[in-house]
Amino acid sequence: MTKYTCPPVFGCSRRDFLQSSSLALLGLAGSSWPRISGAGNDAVLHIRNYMDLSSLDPVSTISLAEGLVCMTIFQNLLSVRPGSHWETQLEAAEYFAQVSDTRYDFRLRPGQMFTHGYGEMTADDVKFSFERMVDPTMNSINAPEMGPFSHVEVHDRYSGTLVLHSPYSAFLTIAVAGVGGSILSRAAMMDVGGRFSTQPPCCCGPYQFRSWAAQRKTVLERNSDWNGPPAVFAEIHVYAMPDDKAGEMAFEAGQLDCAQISAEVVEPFEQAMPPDSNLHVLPSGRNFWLGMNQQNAALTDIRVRQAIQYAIDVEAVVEAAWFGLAATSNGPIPQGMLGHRPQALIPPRGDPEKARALLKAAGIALPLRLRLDCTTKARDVTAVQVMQWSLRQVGIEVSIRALEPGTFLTIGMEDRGDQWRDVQLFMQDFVGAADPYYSMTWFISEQIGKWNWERFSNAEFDRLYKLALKTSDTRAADRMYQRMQDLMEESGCYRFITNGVMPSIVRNSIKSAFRPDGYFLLREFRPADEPA
Amino acid sequence: MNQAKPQGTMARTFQALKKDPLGMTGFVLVCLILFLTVFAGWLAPHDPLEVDVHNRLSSPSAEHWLGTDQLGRDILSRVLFGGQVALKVSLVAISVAMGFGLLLGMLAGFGPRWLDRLLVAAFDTVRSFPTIMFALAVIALTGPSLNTVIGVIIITSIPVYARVVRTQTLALRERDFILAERAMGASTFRILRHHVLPNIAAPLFILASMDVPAVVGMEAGLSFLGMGVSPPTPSWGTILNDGYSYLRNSPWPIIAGGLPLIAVTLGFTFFGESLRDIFDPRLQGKDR
Amino acid sequence: MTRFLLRRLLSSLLVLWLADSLLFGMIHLVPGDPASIMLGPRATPELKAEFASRLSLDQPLHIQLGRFYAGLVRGDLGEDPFSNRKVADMVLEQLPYTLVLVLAAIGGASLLGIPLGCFSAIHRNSWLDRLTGVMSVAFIAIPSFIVALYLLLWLAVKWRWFPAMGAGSVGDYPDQLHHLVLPAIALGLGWVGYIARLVRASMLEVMEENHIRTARAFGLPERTIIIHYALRIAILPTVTILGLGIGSMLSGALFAEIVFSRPGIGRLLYEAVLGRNYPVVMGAVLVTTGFFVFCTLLADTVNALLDPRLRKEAGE
Repeated sequence: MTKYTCPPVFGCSRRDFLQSSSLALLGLAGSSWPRISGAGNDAVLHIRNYMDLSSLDPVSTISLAEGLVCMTIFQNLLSVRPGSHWETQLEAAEYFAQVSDTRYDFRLRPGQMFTHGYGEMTADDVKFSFERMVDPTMNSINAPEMGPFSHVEVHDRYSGTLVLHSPYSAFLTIAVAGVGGSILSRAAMMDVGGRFSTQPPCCCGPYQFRSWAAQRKTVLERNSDWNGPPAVFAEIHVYAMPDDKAGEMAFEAGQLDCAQISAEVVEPFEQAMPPDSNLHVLPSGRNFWLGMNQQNAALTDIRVRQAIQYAIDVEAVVEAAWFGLAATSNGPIPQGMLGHRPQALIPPRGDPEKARALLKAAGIALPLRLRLDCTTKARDVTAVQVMQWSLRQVGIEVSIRALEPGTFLTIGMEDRGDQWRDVQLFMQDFVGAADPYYSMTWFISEQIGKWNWERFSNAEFDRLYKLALKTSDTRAADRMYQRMQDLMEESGCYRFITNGVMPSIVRNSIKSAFRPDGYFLLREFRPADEPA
Repeated sequence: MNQAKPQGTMARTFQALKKDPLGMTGFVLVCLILFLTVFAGWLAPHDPLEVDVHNRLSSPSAEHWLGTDQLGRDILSRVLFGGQVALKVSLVAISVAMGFGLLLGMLAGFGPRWLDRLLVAAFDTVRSFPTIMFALAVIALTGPSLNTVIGVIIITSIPVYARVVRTQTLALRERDFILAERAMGASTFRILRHHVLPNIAAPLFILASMDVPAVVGMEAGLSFLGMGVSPPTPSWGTILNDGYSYLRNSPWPIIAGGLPLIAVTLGFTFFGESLRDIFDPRLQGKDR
Repeated sequence: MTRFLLRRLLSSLLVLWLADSLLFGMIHLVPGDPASIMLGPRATPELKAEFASRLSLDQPLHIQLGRFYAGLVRGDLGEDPFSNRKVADMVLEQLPYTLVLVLAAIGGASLLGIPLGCFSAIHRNSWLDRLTGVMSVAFIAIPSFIVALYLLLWLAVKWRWFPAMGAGSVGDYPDQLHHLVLPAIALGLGWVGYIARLVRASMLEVMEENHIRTARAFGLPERTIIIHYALRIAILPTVTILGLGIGSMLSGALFAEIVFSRPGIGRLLYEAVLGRNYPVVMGAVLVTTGFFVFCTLLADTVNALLDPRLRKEAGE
């Protein structure tokens, strides 16, 4: 395996790629929309969401559970294309192109009407929506995703330019095609005082918001005023169901058409498939790893940390906690994304002999006693018990401290007193996003004592991080991100476990669509009988 | 009334138990469970912590009589060792809670009016705490451990016992025989010890014996919410919780965790009720 | 009786105040901040500070508590910092779901448990007594989340007699009732045995008492004796336990709410506690403790009505 192969998507520079794809799609925009057959016209889609909504306003959404709904009822200039690689496609824009390192031109499709009589979407609405995300008085939760975004220049009713302070390679996937890039109507927002929570004043797109009931469901319905490709479902009911088991049962009872499920039920479902259903097992973009606090007295010797890296059989961990569905990971950047490392330095199976030798070389008196912190989530608890067993085989006795998730998040934080010094091993997981920079941002030196609990600090890493964010040469960025993951592994602070897995079960009557990290793209769902 | 010599009591207990099949069954069950858990170290066929991921969630076999869990650990061994945790949690928690409950309840019921009000307010305050929030707070403050679980259960159980004791004591307080004792100048302690205690012991004993499974169930509930004993320590609660998660893969963890729990419940309840019948002064000497 | 009620009411308020203040302090002692929990690493230090100041977390505890009570007097429980919704609205919209569930569970359990207990006591040591004993006790042993799981698996998934999730459509009462059955069974099943054993135990005891013997000696019909004399006294400890039980069930309903994806106060409180959503936690705690105190009051009053000796002792 050659080390620096790029996935085909990144074969050309990002800018070229975008222009060509936008041109290709431009041809489609003018032609008539394909009409779907009457069969699906009054179809209702029932789908599980993994938690309840707290707000649908793009400045204050907190999770992808809300993103699922936002992306269905609002238009973005670009949207994430379903598939296994992170790519964008035109949505509200009929033309979109990067014209310099920090400028992106767009032109809206004419005739996109907001609901509730708020009129046609204009470039001014784009300006309003983007700029409120970074307006300091809005205290936007999602402002960081906008990166160095500065402002929008409006040229005419439909076209304008998005302007950045500095180059930001993740701008398209994370900001423009993310929740923060949702386009709201300026007039509607003024009417509700500039903010809303779970009751959007107006929508734009094939579906519109009808109702939300706390801890129950959100109902979306077909927007009859929509002049774009029409909604294929008359209604979409999105149920708030935090418990996996509950979701699985509700699916089997025939009350859901589509649900994310837990890894352990995939095998039993495969053996006894619920009628007319299909499983989709997709990789997720999360990063699960075992971290080591290199400033803890017991772990300052790099040989001890390396011994732990070698002692852990990652394959066994993934087999137990993810039922063998997830692949072992080679770093924070998942497969299908720029910067993904095809191979880790230390074999996933580990090497207990080498671990013992390293401990011996370090002159450690065995058994070495360490503490491993994790959350109380069943999957994490399972994973750490396998690690505990592997470590015991080389003479490291680990005691597990399973903490309630909220408490766990504070253990390495410096603003919580000196307890970070006592942190030794911990199992952590962070959500990924559409760009590699996002997966790496928690490990820079600036993050020490905030989210970098390993207290990993490497000048080359920090330099590459900044460089990769600014470069538009994807080949170079790919190499930089791979090198950064090598540096992480070489420090002995990390044992990468997996990027996780997102299994879903879907009724055969539905043609589902997923983002590369396994989340639903509701807007792209179709009835299965729809002609291609 | 209570003058019978210890060996006499024992003998009488056995005599009575023999006549009460349910009580005898309960007694046998309790003995069996005690035996199995106390000698878990000798009886368990495997190390309850031994991980064998590739052999996970298997059905019962000659090697693993109750199958294996999600980490390929022997469920039978985990159930045996889990019994130690269950019994430790329930016996320690219940005896401590019952002791305090008895004391505070009798104080409230027999003591001065102001003390009664104060104690009742205290009981109600503690009882009104939502268990989950209370458990979370205690665990977050002291760190997750077996002792924390026991502590949470003790604190939330004391008021239950105390309230029942208090109600019974209040009811007894104005009875003729107690008023008579008082008139004869008996000390409060004597009255409590010889008249109130034997009378309230009956419902309390039932409550306590039935609380054994309730406590184990609470431990299971706490594990379900991720606030139980620390892994990898086996407990019936965590086994049941695993069973919940992996129900579709294997029904055995629920069966293996549930059956001993049912056995413990039946055992302690019927044995407890039988004992009560034997020791209840008002039932003594009656033909059964 | 009025004086008794008044006094109990006052002490109830005291309990409420004490419990809520203690819990307020306790939840603030638990580490974790709402921004980090809800947003994970996306929570920047600025955001964390913003949330802290919006929730007055940067103030000393007694000031925060003072603000909470001051708001409470005005009928204002504050706002959820994430959704900006009124906490009072959030709590009140969830409360009916849990109340209905708890009442259905405990009502069903009493309807089954009390007669079962009486029956067992009267036919003591008959094989029927033993059978109901074994059955009811076995059900106490199974945690409600396991009961819920199997109910779902058989009655909702296999046979599809009952729906597997939710609470039914708004305004459609038969549908809501249909959705209520399984969660109520899951929550109440263990209580059937518990109540039956308690009633049986106190019945046995009461049946031996002098006034029952007297009544028997007078030749009163056994039915009258049991219902009018024995059960009336025997139910006392059960009423106390039921009062405590209903009150604590409000948060105990959580398991049923999770497994059946039902809305309710238990889930609201649980998720708010995990998210350190302090205003919502306190709003939900206020309701659960308030409800508990109310039930205790009710149990005491019923006790006093049934047994004049207690009333005399406790109040008049």
